[in-house]
Amino acid sequence: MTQLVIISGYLLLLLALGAAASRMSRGTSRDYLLASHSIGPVLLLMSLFGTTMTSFALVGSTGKSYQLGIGVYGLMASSSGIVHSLCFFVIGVKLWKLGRAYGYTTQVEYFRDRLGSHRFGYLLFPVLVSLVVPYLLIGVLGAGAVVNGVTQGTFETAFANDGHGVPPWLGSLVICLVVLVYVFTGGMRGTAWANTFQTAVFMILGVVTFYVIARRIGGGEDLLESLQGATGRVLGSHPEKLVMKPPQLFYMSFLLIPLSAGMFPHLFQHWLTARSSDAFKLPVIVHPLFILIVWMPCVMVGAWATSAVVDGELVFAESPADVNKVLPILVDSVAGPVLAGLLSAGILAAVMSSLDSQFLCLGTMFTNDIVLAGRDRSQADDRRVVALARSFIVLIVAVTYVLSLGKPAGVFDLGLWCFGGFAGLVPLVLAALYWRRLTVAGATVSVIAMVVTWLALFFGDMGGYPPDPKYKFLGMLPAATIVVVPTVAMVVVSLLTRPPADAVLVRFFPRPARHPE
Amino acid sequence: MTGETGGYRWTGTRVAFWLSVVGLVVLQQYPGFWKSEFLVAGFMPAPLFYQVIVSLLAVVLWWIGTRVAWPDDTDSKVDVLTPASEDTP
Repeated sequence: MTQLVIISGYLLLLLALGAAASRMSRGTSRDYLLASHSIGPVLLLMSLFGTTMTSFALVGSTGKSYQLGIGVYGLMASSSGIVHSLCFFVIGVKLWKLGRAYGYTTQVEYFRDRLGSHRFGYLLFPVLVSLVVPYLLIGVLGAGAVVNGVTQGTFETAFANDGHGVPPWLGSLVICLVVLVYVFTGGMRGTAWANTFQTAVFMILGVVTFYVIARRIGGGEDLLESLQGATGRVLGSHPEKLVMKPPQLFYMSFLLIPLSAGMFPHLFQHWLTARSSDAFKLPVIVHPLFILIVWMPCVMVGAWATSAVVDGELVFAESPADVNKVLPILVDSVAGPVLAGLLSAGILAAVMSSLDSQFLCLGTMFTNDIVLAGRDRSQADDRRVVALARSFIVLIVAVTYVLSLGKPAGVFDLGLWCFGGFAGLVPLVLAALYWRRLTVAGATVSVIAMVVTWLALFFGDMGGYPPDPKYKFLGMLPAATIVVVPTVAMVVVSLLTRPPADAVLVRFFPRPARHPE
Repeated sequence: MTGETGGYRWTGTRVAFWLSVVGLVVLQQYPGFWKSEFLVAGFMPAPLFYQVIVSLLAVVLWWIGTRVAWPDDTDSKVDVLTPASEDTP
């Protein structure tokens, strides 16, 4: 019960934060959606990091490390440290400049302008929303699993099928409602504040979790002895978890997963909140370090969990059916109720710091790209714009929540499919930013090719999740095919179709090209 | 060495920096320590320790990048305009 009280207290604190941010609001939709471009380097760092680190990073990485061992760090963390910063550097800064210059709030607005095609937006919008839904699902599933994992045994008679803890469907529902409320009251400013606060919470509590788990399952006089003891147990019973053994091509294709950050709609919106381009420098530099601080302990803990013994009994005598619960169950086993409650709040902080940006972004996209598209915005009622944004958010969250009630996949595996789709759109944004020869036909074919490839792989012969052997295609993650096919299609069709008009290009490439392309 | 890609001006220093980024990716992919059973400080598996070093190198490299390869002219004052697509539905 203590865990439940602490988690509830934390959720109330977030609601108060949203209310405080609403008091700072300037009352305009631009303030609500972009915090009036007022976010400095530290807030930008924390909000970008909090947004990209979801339950995929904490719950997913621990569960996957439990399954596959410490190689998960190389698969996702060190590669993300390189590729995420690369996206901020090469895509984020340039889009920020264009967004400030031409008043963009969403990716669709940018692409419509860049390609000189209003219709292109109606193709890109549903694709982006469809990819955000599984991303939301990762967070919603993670939240439900965490709340259930740490509250098991709380109720004497109720919820027997869920270990007498808060059932995942209820935990997910409450988390969704809390995030909805503070996003609605605080807008982007509230989201940035909540992200910063929650990022600090989950990083600090993450380190505390690592320490507590190491001390409890490792034994020993001091921390080093505990660490050695915890790893020593794994060495004795599951030594395969302490080495890396992925096939080289398969490993290489994981580089494409973090590339997806270049086309996350919610990240685009966060980029535009920056006060200046210099505000990007701190996130570019520090992001790999923050990933290290979060992922390394989670990966170690996942490996330790395979052999963890508490009070003379294996914590996981049998592998849990849902690997999302490895971290919360371990936390609940090794920490006292107060600490377990605090640590769970830290995990939920990571989940919610992504959900909030995604919720807000969905509303922004719907109003700007669909409702207000092609209309005179000066005539639009700001209150009505915000109300429409909120309605669409509720609709998508409801759809996601219903999907979460079905048989869920592990958040890590779900993430690979979701991020693979976004990665397939990154060649498009790179071409739009750096290649004058990109045409609307090339861009259109690229998006369609990404969707067709994704669907064909997911629903075709190889559909499934690792470690299903069918999961690989040509020895690589499906993301590799999902990136290559649209890229080839985009280049070929762009070269075969009429080049874009100079009147369009001059807005995006102010200096004429010096060399023929 | 000079040149331009989509408004990004290439210099010798910038080329060297971006080649270093490629080098870091190659290091991240290097499988030499994957099968090592050595435990650094008695608790951290060598393959994991190697990848942690790659993460730290990334911090250093991106710090250098923000000093020598940051995009030009990103903070020039530009009037906020209306997206053209609003007028051409």
